[in-house]
Amino acid sequence: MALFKSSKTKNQRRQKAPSAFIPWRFGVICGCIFLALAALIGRAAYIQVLEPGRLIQEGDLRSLRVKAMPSARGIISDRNGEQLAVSVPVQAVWADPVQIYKNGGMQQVERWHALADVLGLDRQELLARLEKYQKRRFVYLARQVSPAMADYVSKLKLPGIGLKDESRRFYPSGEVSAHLIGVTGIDGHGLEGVERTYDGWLTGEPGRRTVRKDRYGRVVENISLQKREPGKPLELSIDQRIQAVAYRTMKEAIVNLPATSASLVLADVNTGEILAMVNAPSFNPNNRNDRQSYKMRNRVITDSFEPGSTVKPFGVLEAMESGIVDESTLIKIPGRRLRVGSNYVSDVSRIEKEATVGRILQKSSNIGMTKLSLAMPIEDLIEMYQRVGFDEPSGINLVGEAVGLFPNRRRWSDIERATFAYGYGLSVTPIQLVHVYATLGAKGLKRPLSILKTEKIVPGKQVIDPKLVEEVLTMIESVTDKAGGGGGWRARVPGYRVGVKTGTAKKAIAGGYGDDYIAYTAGVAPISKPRLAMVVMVNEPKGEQYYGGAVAAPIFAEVMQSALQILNVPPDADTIDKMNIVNK
Amino acid sequence: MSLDPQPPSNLARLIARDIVSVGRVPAILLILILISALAVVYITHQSRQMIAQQEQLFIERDQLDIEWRNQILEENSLAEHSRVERFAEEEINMKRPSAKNEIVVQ
Repeated sequence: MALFKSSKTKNQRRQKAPSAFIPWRFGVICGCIFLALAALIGRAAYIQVLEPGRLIQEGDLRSLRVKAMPSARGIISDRNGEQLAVSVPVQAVWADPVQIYKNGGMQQVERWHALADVLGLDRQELLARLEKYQKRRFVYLARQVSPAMADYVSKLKLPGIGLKDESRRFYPSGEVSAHLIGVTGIDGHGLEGVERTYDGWLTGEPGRRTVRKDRYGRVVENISLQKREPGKPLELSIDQRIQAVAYRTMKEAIVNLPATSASLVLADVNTGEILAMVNAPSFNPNNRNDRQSYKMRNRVITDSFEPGSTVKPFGVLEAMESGIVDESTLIKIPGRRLRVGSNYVSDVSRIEKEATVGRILQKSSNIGMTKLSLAMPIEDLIEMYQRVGFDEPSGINLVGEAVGLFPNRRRWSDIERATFAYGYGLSVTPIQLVHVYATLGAKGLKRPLSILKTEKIVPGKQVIDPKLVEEVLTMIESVTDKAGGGGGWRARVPGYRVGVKTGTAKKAIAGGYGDDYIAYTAGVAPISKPRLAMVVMVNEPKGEQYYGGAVAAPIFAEVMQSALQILNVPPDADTIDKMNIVNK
Repeated sequence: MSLDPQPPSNLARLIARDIVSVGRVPAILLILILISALAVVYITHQSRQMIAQQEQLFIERDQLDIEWRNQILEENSLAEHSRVERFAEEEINMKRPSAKNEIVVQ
């Protein structure tokens, strides 16, 4: 107790003492605090100033996102703005088998079965395929899946299954314009037709955006932007209404005749625009399984054959131009057969003993043409054919366009000179033939054809005297005159004056001519003020009839009538009632 | 104590007077700094919201574009020429006019 007491009193005394401040302790504490502060500042400076790269990188990894901005392929439309090819975004479903097996593989097998069902795959096959490619990191399961299906797939929440943006090309017009427009491959690049020819124009440039996202996935900062370049739209010169009528007519024709194939091409003579280009049989461009090469070929531009009698108006033009005949000169026709060298030229239909060039064209007399051809130098005829464009491409510039064979030789026998005047010894494609007839329809003004809608009319080149052309146009109008015995009367269109030339050519095979024919009808309408030029080609008509006037002319008439109606061309034949309400 | 000219109770008033007299410029600058700092925060927040909204509109635009493309397809398949023609001929008994029932009005 005494000790306690004494100590207590001692404490009390010490408390009163002023020496509570111990300098070394104070110093130590201050030192510690400053050290800690310095360490903090040092660390902060190190992070912020000396070595910030790694942390910035780590931060960016967690918040920076690069977004691809896919750009759609341009829309192809017809001259009236009707869409013919449209790209729609779709998804591809892919799998990462390594990821799948790391996450437990096929444990929830019913989910995998649901995936197989929605993608239309066989259940066991899908599982076997994933099993087989266990080591791979990327396997496509399905391409071009619709957004609804893709949504279902993403809701299945399967590990290692992902979706990728793609684009799919749809062709609303289906098989009607399939040849002309062509198709794209699975990667979205053009393989055929306009899709291929104008691929660069139609294809866009995809863009990229770098953005910063916050914790909730919202974009909070735009860091950089590489603008996307959308694919440019393309407006064709085609009129889809005429195209549809033409396709339906041709499709019926090749079944009814029957024939192997038929092709039709229609051009506006005033602008050189192609208004319709159709082939039958055709294919469905939306269905990849329907692509056989015989269906996919655009015969209008790829297949060249001897044009037969369709060249006759140009022989007559040359004969009139060089002055050896005029429209009233009578030419002696010896009979149905004419001997030329060791060969015979024969006519199909009977013709008078003396005929004008108009009558020769009307009856499509080979003998008459032979006489004309033998009366003038062959160089003149070749030069005329070249002038109107039998030897040159039509100017539409489509992939796969062929140019027929044009003879280039010095020595010509008489029979060669004769047959050259009625369409043998050279070959042309239907597009070349329509180019020539468009030149005829434009009164000898030759313009390149165009598959794109033209803003302003291309200035043409006058290759023949318009007066001569007008005379020849009236001559070929007589071909559709049934009473006068014209061979192409089935190409007549009620209400309009139509001029045509029919043609039938034997198909050349190795070593000569075979048993198959090509039937043509080529012509212009209306004759008083030509607006349209059309060529119909029927390949290998198998029925009893195979002449151009019997096989191709009805197709010509039906399509030409619809085209004239659709384009609102005023009827020029006097058979139609006229009501004059403006100039009474 | 009574000789002391400035009693300690006036210290607050003294500081206040100093702020408006000698320290006027720093005080105004202090306030301006505060305002500007708050404005930076506010504007940043606003701009983030605008960017989020813009992003939303971009997404909406892309979706509308997809919808438009699908509508085109639907329109074209419904307005397909042979379908319209079949409908016109079979359902409502229309006919293609022939040259005989055409009258040219001049």
